[in-house]
Amino acid sequence: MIQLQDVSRTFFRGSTEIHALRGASLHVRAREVIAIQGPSGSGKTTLLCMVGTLDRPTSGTIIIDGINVWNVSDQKRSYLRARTIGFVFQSYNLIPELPAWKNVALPLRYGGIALGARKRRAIDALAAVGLEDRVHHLPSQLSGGEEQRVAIARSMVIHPHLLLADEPTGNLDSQTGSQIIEQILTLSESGRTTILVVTHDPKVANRCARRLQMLDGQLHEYPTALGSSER
Amino acid sequence: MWQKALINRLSRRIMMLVGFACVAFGLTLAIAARNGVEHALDTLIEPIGRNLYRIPSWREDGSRPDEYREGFGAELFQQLERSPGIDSLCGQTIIGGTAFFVGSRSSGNYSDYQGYFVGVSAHYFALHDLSLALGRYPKVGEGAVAVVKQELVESLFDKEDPIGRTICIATDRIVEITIVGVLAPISEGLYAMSYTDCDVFVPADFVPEMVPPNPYGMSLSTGLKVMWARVDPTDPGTGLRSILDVVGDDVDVDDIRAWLGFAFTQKRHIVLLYTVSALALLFVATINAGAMGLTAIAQATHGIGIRRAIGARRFNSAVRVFLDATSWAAAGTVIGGVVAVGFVPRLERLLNFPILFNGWNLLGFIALLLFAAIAAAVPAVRAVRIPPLRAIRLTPLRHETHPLRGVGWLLTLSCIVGISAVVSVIALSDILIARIDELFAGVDRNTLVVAGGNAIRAGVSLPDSELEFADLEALSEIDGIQGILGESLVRMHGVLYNDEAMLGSLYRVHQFGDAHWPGSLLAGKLPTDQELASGTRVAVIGQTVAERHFPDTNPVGEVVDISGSLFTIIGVFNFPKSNLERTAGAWKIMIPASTVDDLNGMTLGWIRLNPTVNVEETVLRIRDTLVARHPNEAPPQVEGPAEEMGLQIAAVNGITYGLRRMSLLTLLVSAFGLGSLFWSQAVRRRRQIGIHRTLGASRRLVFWHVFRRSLATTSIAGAVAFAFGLLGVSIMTKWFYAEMSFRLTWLVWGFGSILAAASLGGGIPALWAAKRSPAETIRHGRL
Ligand SMILES: Nc1ncnc2c1ncn2[C@@H]1O[C@H](COP(=O)(O)OP(=O)(O)O)[C@@H](O)[C@H]1O
Ligand SMILES: [Mg+2]
Repeated sequence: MIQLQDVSRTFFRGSTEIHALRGASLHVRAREVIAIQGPSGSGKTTLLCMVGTLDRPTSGTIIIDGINVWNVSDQKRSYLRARTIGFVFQSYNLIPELPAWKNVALPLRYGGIALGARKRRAIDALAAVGLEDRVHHLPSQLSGGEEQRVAIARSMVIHPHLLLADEPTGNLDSQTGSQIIEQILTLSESGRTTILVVTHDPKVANRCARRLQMLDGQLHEYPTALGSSER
Repeated sequence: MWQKALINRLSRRIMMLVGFACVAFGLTLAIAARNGVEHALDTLIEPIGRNLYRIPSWREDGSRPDEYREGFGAELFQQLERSPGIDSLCGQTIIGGTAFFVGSRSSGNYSDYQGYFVGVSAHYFALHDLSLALGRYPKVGEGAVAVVKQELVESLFDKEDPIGRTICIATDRIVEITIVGVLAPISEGLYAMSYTDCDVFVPADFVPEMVPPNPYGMSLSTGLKVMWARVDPTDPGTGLRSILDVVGDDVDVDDIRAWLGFAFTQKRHIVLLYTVSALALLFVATINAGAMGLTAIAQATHGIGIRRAIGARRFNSAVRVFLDATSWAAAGTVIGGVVAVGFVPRLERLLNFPILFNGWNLLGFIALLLFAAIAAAVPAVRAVRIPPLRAIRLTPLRHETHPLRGVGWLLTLSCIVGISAVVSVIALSDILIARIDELFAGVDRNTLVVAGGNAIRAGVSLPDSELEFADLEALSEIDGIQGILGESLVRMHGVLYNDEAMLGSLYRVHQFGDAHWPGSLLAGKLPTDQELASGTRVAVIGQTVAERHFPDTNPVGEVVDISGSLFTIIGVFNFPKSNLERTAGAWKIMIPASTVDDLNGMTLGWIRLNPTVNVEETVLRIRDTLVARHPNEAPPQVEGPAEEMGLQIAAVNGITYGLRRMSLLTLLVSAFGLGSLFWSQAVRRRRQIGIHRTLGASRRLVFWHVFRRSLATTSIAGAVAFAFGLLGVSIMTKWFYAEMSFRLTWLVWGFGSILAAASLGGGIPALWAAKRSPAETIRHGRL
């Protein structure tokens, strides 16, 4: 369902070039759950941005659900994000002025869902992550873990085909972290969603069927992935 | 990236610099123009002193009270002269026009001079500060004696001594008057006193002798029409009371300044308009300077928070912000002032009064710097009130501490000022132009016609003057003239088409200066400069000629025969009509002057005036040039709106070419202010925009989201501004004695201004916001 071919991304800072991705290729089948590991600065976030159509590769092609995403209009790409891709970030990225439910309802709005349905679905999604009594709270009135759960609800509310999580537990204590991971992985069990999760936590990685290693802007399959989880 | 950041930081400062430069420019000129007008008025008043009162024998509306039907009588004059507080008093009779001659009319051997006479009382010359070049003043009761003007002497006596000579006028008999004095030249201001026009001053009691008996039995009023009283300067109140006691308060008594000042009203109004525009600009710029400072702070809150957290003192942060803002504003002020000084000659030409700098300018300058300081102080104070913790943690600032609070309102206000300035100036110039067009239907207000002078019309016994192309050539050198189309009559008939004589007069034309044809082209084209110069055989025909001879065919391309040469018709033209020529425009056939031998028929010049040079002055220069080229001939004639309404047209041009620019500048500055606000908001919301984009908001949506707000702001501002603008115009039209009738174009300008402000103010930031890559923006952990 996702195909990255020779994707490179180079940043220009004044006269120096930073090669965040150097010809990364990846093929992801539907409903795969993939962990991406690698040292800081190796290009993991850049890769997720590529897959999420948030950033344009310097070279290479990205095909999602058969669509070459950089060959279509911004309008179409935005719609694709709104309808099929969920994002969870390390720094929760909630809109500070909006209460929890409106934050959750945002992608529905951009996906063209009617207001009544939006609110109902947003509240359901918040309930699914255990935040039914935080519906009207502003992000600044929530704890870190709660904020991240709102972010997960927001990514879940559209029933995405693809969930991209960039170090979702990085800012949380380990107990809250594992709760969050549970919630993300139960998605895969519900069956429909492909998941790419960037993580430093081996426990999280071990629970994923496929593990990738990012090194210097290139992707490597992690050969012992299955072995360690079978132990 | 760092270049971008530098540009971002600099652009705000440059905007501040430019904004203040604009204001300094506008304010400096407005003040200097005001000084100029006041100075011109003062130089008119100074020699005669300020304590002079003018006492006319009529009311403000021009009607006469019954008791003064014949003017002020001698008794009243003496009574007032003896009243307390009156230092000295004089008076004058009606002004009459007649021909003064020397020699014998019956023998035909005489020369004459068309002029005006007036009867004056004692002290008249002293009170008006008129000094003599020769001889002495006439005395009341002395009879047929006169002081005359230099021009009359030159015309009638050439270089001989005029004192003791007599000049004659004819009433029912010949009246001889002996010249006892000659006036020194009077400096002729634009706003002349009554004496400026007079050539012969006789004792007031002699005037009845100069007026022929009235056939209708009405007594011609020969009393004093106007008196002038100098009151005791140490106690002017007593003097004024005496005047009112003696003549009553039914007449229009005025002090000299108020009376002369009336003639200055239009100039004052224009200056006032300039001043108001400058103040509007000042207001707008101040608001924007403050707003820019505040947006800068809004963007720097994080940094300020960190600085404060690691120990920067409040005071230091405030001073940094303050100095940054004021230094740029001060630099802008200086630049604007300097540019304004350089601009003075142009404005002087446009407005036709001196531009003077004095203490007021200095005061204006100081005020401007003060405003800049205030504008910078607000952000400085707000900067230190941002709680460091919130700034660091990026929690949304609460309303009371948000640096941008209230800025939106102020900027909306500044937008209102900008848009209403545009609307009102456009509307006002429209109204004035409409008024002039109404008076001169179909003739462009900046077009003049010059032709030879006619002794009968000018009332002089000099030979008629004839213009030649060389005269027009000389005129085209004048600064205020853009171009002249010269035409010269070749003959009234004799153009053949298909061997048939055409009805129509043949003219040869030539171009001096820039290309310009008065009237409108109906078909085909006009000859090019090249064709006019090189003798190409082309012709342009008037509308009636075309309709008569080519009723069914297109005349363009047809060939006519002129004295055996073939000319191709290239255009049909609608020439305007001038009273100074015999052929109506529609009956003309025009060919390049270079195609025929130098025949000199009656020559006429259609002059295109440069509207950015005061047309009133240009008309004077045209006259002077032509008179100098045709000495001892009847003065050549000038016809056109600018000749009759020079002051008004100069006013319109001043508004159209000066004020329009100033008001557009105001609009621009206010739009920049809005832009900086929306831009700063977009920058602050950059991360949020990134989040929205990640969740599926398209670029278009983001653009619209940002743009919508500026559109709403400017639309509301525009609606209010439109109302304000019209209100202003309805007041200003009264100043110029015109009627206000609404025009659709004003709405168009209003909408245009709104759109311009919205797209400058909102469009650019919106585009910026829409173009951000979502990946880049969500990465930014900070604002
Ligand atoms: N907008 C950017 N401009 C310049 N360099 C960037 C930008 N974004 C990322 N980089 C650089 O690209 C490299 C990869 O970054 P990233 O994908 O965030 O790594 P990771 O997520 O694996 O820590 C880093 O060296 C980073 O500095
Ligand atoms: Mg990362």
